[in-house]
Amino acid sequence: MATYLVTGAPDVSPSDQNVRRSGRRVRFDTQVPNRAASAIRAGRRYVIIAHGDSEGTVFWFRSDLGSSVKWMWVGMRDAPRAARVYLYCCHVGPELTRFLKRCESFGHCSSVPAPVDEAEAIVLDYLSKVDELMRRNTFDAGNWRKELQDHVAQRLSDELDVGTSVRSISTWLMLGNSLRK
Amino acid sequence: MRESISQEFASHKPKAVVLDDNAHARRMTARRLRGRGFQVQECGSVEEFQKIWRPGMADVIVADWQLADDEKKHGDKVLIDVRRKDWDVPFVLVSGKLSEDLNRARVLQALLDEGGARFVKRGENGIKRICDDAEDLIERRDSTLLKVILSLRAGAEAGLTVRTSSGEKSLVDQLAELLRKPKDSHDVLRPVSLVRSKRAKVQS
Repeated sequence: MATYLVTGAPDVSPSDQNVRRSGRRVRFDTQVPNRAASAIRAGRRYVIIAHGDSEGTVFWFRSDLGSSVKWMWVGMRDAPRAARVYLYCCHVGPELTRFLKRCESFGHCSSVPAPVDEAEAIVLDYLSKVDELMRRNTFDAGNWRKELQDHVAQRLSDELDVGTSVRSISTWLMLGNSLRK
Repeated sequence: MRESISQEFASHKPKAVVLDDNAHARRMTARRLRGRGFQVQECGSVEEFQKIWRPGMADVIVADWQLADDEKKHGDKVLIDVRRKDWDVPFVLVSGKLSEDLNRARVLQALLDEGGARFVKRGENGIKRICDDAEDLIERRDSTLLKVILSLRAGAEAGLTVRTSSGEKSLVDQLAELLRKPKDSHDVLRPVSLVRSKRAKVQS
């Protein structure tokens, strides 16, 4: 089972509660060490929900500091090793996964919706697919991307046919967009 | 309006923007489009058009070629500008003088080939042809992309946003992002189109 590391950033609150309520193991805010290498242990599997940018930097918001700090970035000396890391963070995918050569890592190329508000159920559904991939013995980023794209396509197609909610379509579309190469 | 378009738009009306500095011609075109079931917004200048138009917010643009004395504000320049932001929206360019100017005709041909637009020469049945071409171009659009645009438009008009892990993202921006590059929208929507066509085959 993957461990979810969730930022304490107020603008994506209560992502931690929503993810925990769905039965997933969550470490949140100050429960996560300042050093990414301490938080991400070898041989373990993690899904990281945090802010990111297109340079491949993941920012961690700590409520005790009241601000965000650089937590993982391209060129960091003490990078995590030998872990499987799913970066559910905006933009960081292309740069950071290229840098984390000693991990099995996967990330998104653009904005991803936070598991809050009307997007909660959709993101949790998406993360169920992520959990399924994370449990597998083998890692193949290309294959993962294809499977996740297919999952999003199925769900988006359902939404388009039923036309239930603009936000649902918007959320699935955002996920599909973030999975482009 | 054609049945296929009515079905696609269901309870919505297709939206047309008519850009023409000649008030009489603009009103005539707008009236005919309204008569066909379009919701029409009229613009008397390029500035007015730039203020109201956003990618994904209109289903067809009808623009006069010669809009002002300034060539930078002619309809062909509007088309180029529109295509930078939206590769897909149907565009009908209208002129009464074009056949007299071979140079322009050559420019126009290149523009239409690259810009996915139609040209209508004013004159007999000119307005009817504008409406026919507008409907032709709407009919030819990718149905998945059109469905996504129509779904998001209501939210964009209502100013909806989605919270992401890099701030709030508006549906207006999401539409603009979807329509900025054909490759990007194809990459996102191709798997969806495949699912939809498979389902259609199974159902039939």
